Amino acid sequence: MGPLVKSADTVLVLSDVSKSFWVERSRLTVEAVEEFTVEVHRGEFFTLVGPSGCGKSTVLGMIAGFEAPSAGAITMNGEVIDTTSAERGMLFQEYALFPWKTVRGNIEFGLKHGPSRAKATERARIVQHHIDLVGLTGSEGKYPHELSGGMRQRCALARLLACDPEVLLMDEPLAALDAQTRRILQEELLRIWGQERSPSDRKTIIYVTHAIDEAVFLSDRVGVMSRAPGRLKEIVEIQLPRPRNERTRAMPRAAELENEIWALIREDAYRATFE
Amino acid sequence: MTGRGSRLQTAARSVAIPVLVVAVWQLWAGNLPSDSNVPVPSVVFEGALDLVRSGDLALAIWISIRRVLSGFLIALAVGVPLGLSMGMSPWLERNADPVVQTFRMIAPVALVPLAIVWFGPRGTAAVFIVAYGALFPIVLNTIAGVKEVDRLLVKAARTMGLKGRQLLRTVLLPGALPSVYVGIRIAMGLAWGAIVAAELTVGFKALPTAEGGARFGAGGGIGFMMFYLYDNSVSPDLIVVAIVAVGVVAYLTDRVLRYVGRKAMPWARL
Repeated sequence: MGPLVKSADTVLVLSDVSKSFWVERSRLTVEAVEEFTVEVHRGEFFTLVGPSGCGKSTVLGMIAGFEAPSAGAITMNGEVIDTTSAERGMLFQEYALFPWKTVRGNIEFGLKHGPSRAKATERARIVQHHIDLVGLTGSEGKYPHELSGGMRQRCALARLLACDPEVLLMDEPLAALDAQTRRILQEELLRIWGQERSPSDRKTIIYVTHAIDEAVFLSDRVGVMSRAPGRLKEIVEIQLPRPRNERTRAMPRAAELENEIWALIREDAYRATFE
Repeated sequence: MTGRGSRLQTAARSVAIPVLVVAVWQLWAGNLPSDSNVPVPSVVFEGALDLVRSGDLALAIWISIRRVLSGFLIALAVGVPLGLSMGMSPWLERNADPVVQTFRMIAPVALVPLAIVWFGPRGTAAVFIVAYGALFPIVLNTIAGVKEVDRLLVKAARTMGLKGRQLLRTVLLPGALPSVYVGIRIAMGLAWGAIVAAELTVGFKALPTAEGGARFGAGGGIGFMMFYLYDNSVSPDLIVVAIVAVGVVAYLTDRVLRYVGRKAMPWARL
C-alpha cells in the first residue's frame, strides 16, 4: 500500500487519544491510555497486542463509542465518534449472546431492532445466509446455553456480520476457547472475512489479543502497546501472503515476526506479571 | 424420559404421605368424644362432598379467584414499571427504597380498616388488600432482575445500533424476566394469604349484605365463608373444608404459573 492511496483509504483515525479513570478506592487518577495515534485502513486486519492491563480493550471500547477519550479525538470517515453505532459492531470474549434468544433469534436481533430494519422475508434470508456461513446449520433453534464455546462465538460472529457494520471490533474473541478450537476458528475467521478478496471488498477489522502468534497469523498490521499507561510502541507490518492457512504457521517468517513482537513486549510483560 | 408406569409410580408416591397423615388422623380423631371440636377426616370429606355438590364451594372460590386475579394484575401493572425504574435509576432506588422497605413490613391485613373506609365493606376493599400484598415481591424482584442483567448484553445491543427505550424493551426487560417471574410466584402466594385475611375481616362488616343467596356466605368468597361458618357455629368440619380448599386452589394456581413459566422461558433454568 503506497503512501498516496493511504489517506484516501483511511477509515478510522485516532489522534493523540488519552484516557484516564478516577479510581475511587485509591483516590487516584489512573492513566489507561496515553497519546495513542493510529490510522486504520479500509479493509485491513489491524490488531492491538500488549501485556495485560495495557489498555488495549479501553482503546477498542472508545472506538466502539462506549466511552469518550479524556483527550484527543477518534474519527470514522472524518466524523467524530461520540456514541455507539451500528457501523461499528463488536465481538466479545464472553460472546454476549442473549440467553433468551435462540441462535436464529440472536442473529436476527440487530436486523429486527436495529436502525436498518429489514422486512421479515429479507431478514430470514440474511439470517439463514449467516447461519450457513459460520457453519451453524441445524442448530438454529438452540439456545446459547445448549452450545459449546466455539459454537457460541460463531453465533456471535454471525450476529455481528448480519448487521453489516463497516468496522468489526473484536475484543479477545477467542481467548476463552481451548487451543484447538481457537486454532480452527482463527482460520474460520479469515475465511469468513474473505481474506483472499481485495481490501476494498472486505470489512475493516480491529482485533485485540494478547496472543502474539494469533496476531501474526491473522493481521495485516500489528500495533504493539506498552504497559499502562498504554502507548502505541510500534506498528509491525505482517508481510505474510494471503490466503493464510496451516502452512503459514510453519513459515520461518512467521516465527521471526512473533519474536520481533515478543522482543517489544517482553520487558513490559515481565513487569506486568511480577509487579 | 419417564414411561407411563413410572409416572404412575411418581403420582402414587406423591399422594402416599397425605393419605398416611389423614389415615392416622382419622384413627385418632374418630375415637374422640363427639363434642371435642376436632374435625374428623371422614366427616370433613362428607362436608366437602356436600359443598361441592351444592356449588357453594365453587361459588366461594370463584368469587375469591376473581379478587385475587384483579388485585394481582393491579400489583403487576404497578410493580413491574416501578421495579424497572428503580432497577435502572440508582438515584430513584436510593430514595424510594426506604419507603418500599417500610411498607413491605406492614401485613396486608393491617390495611383492612383503611380499605373499608375508602372502598366500603365490599369486594373492592379485598382487591385493594390483595394488590398491596402482591406488590412488594414483584417490585423487589423486578429491581433485582434489572440489576442482574449482564451489562455486556446492553453493550452488545448498543453496537447493533440500539438506544434508550429500545434497550429497555429488548434487553433489560427480557433479561429481568426470570427474576420478575419468581416475584410473580411469591406474589401469588401472598395474594391468596391476603384474600383470606381480607374476606374474613371485611366480611365481618359486610355480613348483612354479602350472602348473595348462596349458603354459608359463599357469595362473599372463601374467606367470608370461613367467617360465616365460624360466626354461625355451623361446623368445624366445614371450616376445614374451606381451609383445605384455599390451599388446594393456591397450589393449583402455582402449578399453572410454573407451567406457563417453563413454556414462556425455555432458556431459563427455573
